[in-house]
Amino acid sequence: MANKNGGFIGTDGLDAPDPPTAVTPTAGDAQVSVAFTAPTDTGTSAITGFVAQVSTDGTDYSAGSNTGSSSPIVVSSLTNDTAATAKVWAINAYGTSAPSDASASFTPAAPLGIFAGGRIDSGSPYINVIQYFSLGSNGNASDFGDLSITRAYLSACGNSTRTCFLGGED
Amino acid sequence: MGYYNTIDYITPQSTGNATDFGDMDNPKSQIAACSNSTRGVYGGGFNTSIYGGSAYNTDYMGYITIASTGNSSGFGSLSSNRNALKATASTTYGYFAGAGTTSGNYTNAIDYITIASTGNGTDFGDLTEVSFGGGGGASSTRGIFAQSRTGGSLGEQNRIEYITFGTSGNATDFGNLSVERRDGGVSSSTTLCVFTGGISNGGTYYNTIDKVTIASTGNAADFGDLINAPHGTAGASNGHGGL
Repeated sequence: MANKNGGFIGTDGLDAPDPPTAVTPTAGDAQVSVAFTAPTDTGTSAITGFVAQVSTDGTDYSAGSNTGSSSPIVVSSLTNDTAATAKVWAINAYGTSAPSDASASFTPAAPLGIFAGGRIDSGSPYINVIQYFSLGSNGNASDFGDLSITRAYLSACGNSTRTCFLGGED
Repeated sequence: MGYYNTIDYITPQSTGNATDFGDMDNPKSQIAACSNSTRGVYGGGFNTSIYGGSAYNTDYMGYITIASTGNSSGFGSLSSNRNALKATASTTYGYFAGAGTTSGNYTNAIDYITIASTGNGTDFGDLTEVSFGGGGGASSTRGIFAQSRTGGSLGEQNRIEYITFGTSGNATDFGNLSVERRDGGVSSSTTLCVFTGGISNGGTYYNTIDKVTIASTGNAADFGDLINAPHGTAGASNGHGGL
């Protein structure tokens, strides 16, 4: 409950919201998308917004911040390859909630360039190699794994969590 | 030996072998695919029946829901039958460009689709010249195409060209690859587009990785090397402009 023990109390003594729950980060390129569940007890007035803040040491939540009216909130300008956690606060007209529990650790990272299959010579032509490299800085590719079928002239598409390889021939 | 209707997938966050996702409508090769955060759409290609028979060009487009494994569903038709086309996507639209056509000729046509709703391809504009092969990348505002072979002379093409999302129109010259080649892979973040591998008309295979900054025009610069030198490879990323 958002009573006078449930959150930071506004200067006029009225109740702030309970803190958000289920704070779940999805890391991206120098950013994180912070999903959360809004509190059911909004305090004395309706929630007017949320603040998501990021910490790289678990104590100081000033590594990044952004506001939003609903879940998720994207916090940008983070440092890639540095582990962090996030907390979320709910705000109403009378004050700011206590912080949520810290999220699980996440690590922002530059996206990967991912390449699969192909022909490497005209005599023994087809390969099943999947190779990858960070698009964040120059460098050579590394082995990722193998396609289920050796083939070339395939195509690929995907999102942040899954890359699909379609069709092809050998 | 033959064509595959296979769809397999990886999770970019952890290395490992690809896992079965489902099947496309038919075995096919030299299709193009693009995606936003929820849906992947493929189109064109050399198509064969699951019962065998000769390959033929197709205008068929299908789609998959990336988060849930399963077979593809019908999406619509491109404006013509075509193979060896290339594709890119914004968060809203998918673009299919260039190709070999049924008549053995080549096209510079760019079709676009609305990814979230099934339907047929609509004319967007034209590439700077007819071409086939290659691939596409994207920022949130600009689509990039490269690694194609020109239709006129059938030579390699070092041209990089771009379109501006949301405004129908023709492609514009962006700059040149570091080495003239075709049929390599293309991938991008929201700011950087890379071009990998490829083959020259003389049969030279390249392990080159080139890069350009999507927001600016200019020639590609060296990025690094692949672990081998493939052509006919597929490129993707987990942080492109269509997400």
